[in-house]
Amino acid sequence: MSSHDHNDEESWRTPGERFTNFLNRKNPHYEHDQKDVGIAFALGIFYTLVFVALGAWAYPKWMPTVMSTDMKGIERLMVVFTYISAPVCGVVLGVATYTFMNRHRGDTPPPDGPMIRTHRLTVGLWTGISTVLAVLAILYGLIELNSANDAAVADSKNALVVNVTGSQWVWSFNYPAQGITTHELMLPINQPVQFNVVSTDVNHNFWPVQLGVKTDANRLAVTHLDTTPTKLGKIDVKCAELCGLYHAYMETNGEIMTSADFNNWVTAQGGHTA
Amino acid sequence: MSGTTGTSMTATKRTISAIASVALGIAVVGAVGFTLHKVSADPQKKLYATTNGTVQTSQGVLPHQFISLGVYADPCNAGSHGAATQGATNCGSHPSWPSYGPSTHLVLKPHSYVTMTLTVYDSGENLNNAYFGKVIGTVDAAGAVSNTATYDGVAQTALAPTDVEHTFTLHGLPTSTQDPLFVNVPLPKNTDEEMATYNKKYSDSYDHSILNKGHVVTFSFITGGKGEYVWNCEYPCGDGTYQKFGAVMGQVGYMAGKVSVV
Repeated sequence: MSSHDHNDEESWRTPGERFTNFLNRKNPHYEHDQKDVGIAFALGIFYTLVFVALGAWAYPKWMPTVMSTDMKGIERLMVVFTYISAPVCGVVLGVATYTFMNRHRGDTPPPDGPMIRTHRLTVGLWTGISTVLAVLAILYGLIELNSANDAAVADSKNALVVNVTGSQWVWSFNYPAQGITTHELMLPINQPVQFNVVSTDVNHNFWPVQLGVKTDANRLAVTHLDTTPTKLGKIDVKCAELCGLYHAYMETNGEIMTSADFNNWVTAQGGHTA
Repeated sequence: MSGTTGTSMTATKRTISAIASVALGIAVVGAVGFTLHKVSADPQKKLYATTNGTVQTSQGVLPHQFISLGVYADPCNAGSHGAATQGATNCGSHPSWPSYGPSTHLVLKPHSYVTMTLTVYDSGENLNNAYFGKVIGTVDAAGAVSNTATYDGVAQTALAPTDVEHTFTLHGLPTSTQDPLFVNVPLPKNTDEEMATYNKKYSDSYDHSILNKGHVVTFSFITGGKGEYVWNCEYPCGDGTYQKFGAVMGQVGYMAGKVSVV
């Protein structure tokens, strides 16, 4: 085969076909295909490392400040999920990138290459690895969810109770033990808190962002949340369910403060401390 | 014609197609943007607070601003709801809806002592959140937080949830560039007898001043820096949908509006 013929043949062979031939080792230009597959997988490994690095570095940077035990768990969950999904996403993106780099140029598209599902080893490995990663993600998620529930049950025995009411488009917070109601959410640090959430009109969703918990506010049913604030500072309280005209304005301030500051705040609001 | 010419023609077509596609995309996005802008525009003219003198407060000497609004059982006396359809007044397309007026977009100055007067003329039922029966965020003559409003000349800190007609509830997004501002003032309802009397007199004469003989509520608050806020009524005065938060409660221009601090 002349060099000219070889180039013509290479020009219409799709990357998928080259990959298939590489796997089946039937290609007369096996070395070319070996190079193709090598580069694609090298790209895949590169992308995987990028995603792993992003998971380790970016989530703690980009996610809201961790201010509760639940938020710490959520951050950890997101990082682990990123690690688990990084190889799948990386390899797919690597093959896609190399395929795009070697795409056909011109008006007449070549015929599709043969599908690779007949290569049992590849299909088996791909399916098996994906399954293992998915099962890992499910197991880790369930374990994390269960640990959050366990902590909530344990905390609820001596929790500060806050009755949260969503009304279009303002939150109000009733502290029954302190005898006060406000539109700002103030909480003492390291004190377990139990939110009883309800709505007076349409469905809302109570989301104190930095605390890492969120639940629906329904009109006819009280939903419950438990968490323990672990860091001093400001928090944002948002509505996370589209609830009408000024849904976007249904936000309010909050703060995690020391117990002494919390007691002072309660007194200033006309309430009574324990 | 040579093959080169054919290739050149194809390239020209491609270029024209690409330019046409981009132009079409820009036109579509522009049309959508223009339509959204038009739909979301203020339904009414802005209502500017007037400045008259200063007030010595704990935050220093602040300009004293005044602004007045009315709350009516129907929009006919509010004055900003479109063509005249009833009693030679502007009732708009929803003549049975309650409404604030003459505008629901208020403009205030930053760092000013604002005194607001609300004339309220409507009946009422029950608040569905008793919290909004409290006066919140208002200040006294010295600028200290008092959580008090004056109702027909009598200072009060709250109304019973069963005595409320509407509320003026001002709030905004908590952002790093905008000072927080939260004001809630419940407004007292008129009795059925009062409403019947007013309605009779009005239907006899179409004298708008009759509708201004409801309760008069006055309160003050202090604005922070520049910012965009919203206000709405927390009394469920809509139709039967969404726990009476449908219809009028879901539109800007009746029981909800904006406050621009500029």
